[in-house]
Amino acid sequence: MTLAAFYDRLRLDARLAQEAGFNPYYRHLQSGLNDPVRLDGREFLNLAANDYLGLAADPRVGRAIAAAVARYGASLCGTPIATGCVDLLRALEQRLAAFVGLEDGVVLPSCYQANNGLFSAVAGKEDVILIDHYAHSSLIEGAKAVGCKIRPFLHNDVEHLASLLGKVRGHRQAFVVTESVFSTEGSIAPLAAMVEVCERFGAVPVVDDSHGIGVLGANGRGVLEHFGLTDFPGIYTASLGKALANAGGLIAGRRSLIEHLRYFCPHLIYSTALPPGVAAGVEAVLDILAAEFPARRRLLWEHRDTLRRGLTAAGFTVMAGEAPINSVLAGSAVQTLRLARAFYEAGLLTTPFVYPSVPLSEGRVRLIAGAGLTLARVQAAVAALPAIARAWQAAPSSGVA
Amino acid sequence: MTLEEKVVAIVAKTAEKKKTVTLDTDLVHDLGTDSLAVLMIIQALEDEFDIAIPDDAFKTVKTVREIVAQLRAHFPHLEPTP
Repeated sequence: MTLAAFYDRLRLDARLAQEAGFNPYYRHLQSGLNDPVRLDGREFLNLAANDYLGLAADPRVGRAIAAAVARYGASLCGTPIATGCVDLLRALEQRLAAFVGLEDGVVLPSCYQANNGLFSAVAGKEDVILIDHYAHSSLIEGAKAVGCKIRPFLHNDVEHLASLLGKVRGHRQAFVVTESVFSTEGSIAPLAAMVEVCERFGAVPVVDDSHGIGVLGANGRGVLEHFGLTDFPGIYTASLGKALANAGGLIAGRRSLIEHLRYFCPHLIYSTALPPGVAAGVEAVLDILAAEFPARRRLLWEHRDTLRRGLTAAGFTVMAGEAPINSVLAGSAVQTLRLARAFYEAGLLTTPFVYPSVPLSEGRVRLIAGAGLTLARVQAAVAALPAIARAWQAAPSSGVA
Repeated sequence: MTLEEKVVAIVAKTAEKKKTVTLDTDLVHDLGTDSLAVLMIIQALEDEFDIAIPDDAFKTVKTVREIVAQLRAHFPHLEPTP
């Protein structure tokens, strides 16, 4: 045992980035999300951010944040259970819960914390957690932290879920965990059918709606509105850092659940509370959504469709998702990074996913064209796609059809 | 149905995409099996044979054939002696 051996063990293997000639991770933008964004001294069209509705750089949101900072300062420098929770934050929790159609809610500094801390607060070793095979790391790690039996079920497969629930014996409580939108491919979980199965077996459904809130449903209220689930009996979580264009993580559900979490969720109790400015930013986004959601949603979907047609015409294999996401299958990790590099060199920022975020050999590059972009800019990106495909094809053994 | 046939069928049933599975199928390279998928296979085997598989029993297995070998090693009763 030596200190040198410890640090040697931590040394990163840079071979993948070297082979691809590109490391897409931890790039530092020199601008906000107003189009175009600046990176490495160049201008880019940002197809990487989760700013679905184009509100992250909206001046109205910025003004609301500035006003809250002027009133409350940058932070309350306290945990919510002590004196970190301002009236603004509590009002936001209640408004968000009502927005998604649930009784009450609590907001944590991130949705990773929300998902990670939830299970230990509500489940124990005597329970069982059934989880979608492709669920987000925050849900998997949160479930593992309980130390109870974990039963993965096939991705979005209600029949498999039901067969596993039928085999659950001798556990106090079963939880069924999924995401609403699986963001690396854009598929939507069959939540209504899953809730029905949960009710049949007395299981508690848990859904992470991070890529659904502000996107799905006639009014952008998320997956529960999308499926018409007016009396969701389970636990709902969502990121406030995607369509809602700020930061933080919501847990919502029945009042007794939320009251319990306030006193038994360490990730909430021991974290410095969400800064007041961020709470004001989310409030401003909700105000904007109330008036502008239909128009922004229309743009978002038009962009998705325009981009999808262009990608397909250029020979890319686009995954058949139902969300406003385009994921291009790229194959191996090296091929995936090479494709992200081809996009980058053409001035398009994208998000590559490789194993273990996605299955081995199913690397993909995700493109989200938010409502903040103009149709002309998206069309310009489409015009560049054939050349991007050719550049990628020129790299050894690419997967372009 | 032999033990081999049963295991092949279980592995095929727990794969995300319908793929041809044989005894020589490599779990990671042919099926893209990750840690949760391994858990799914183990639990399906436990359900099928009514056994409790030790945590480390499958740590080194690479192919379906090796799953069968590990099952035989840990649970000789799964096959009636000829």
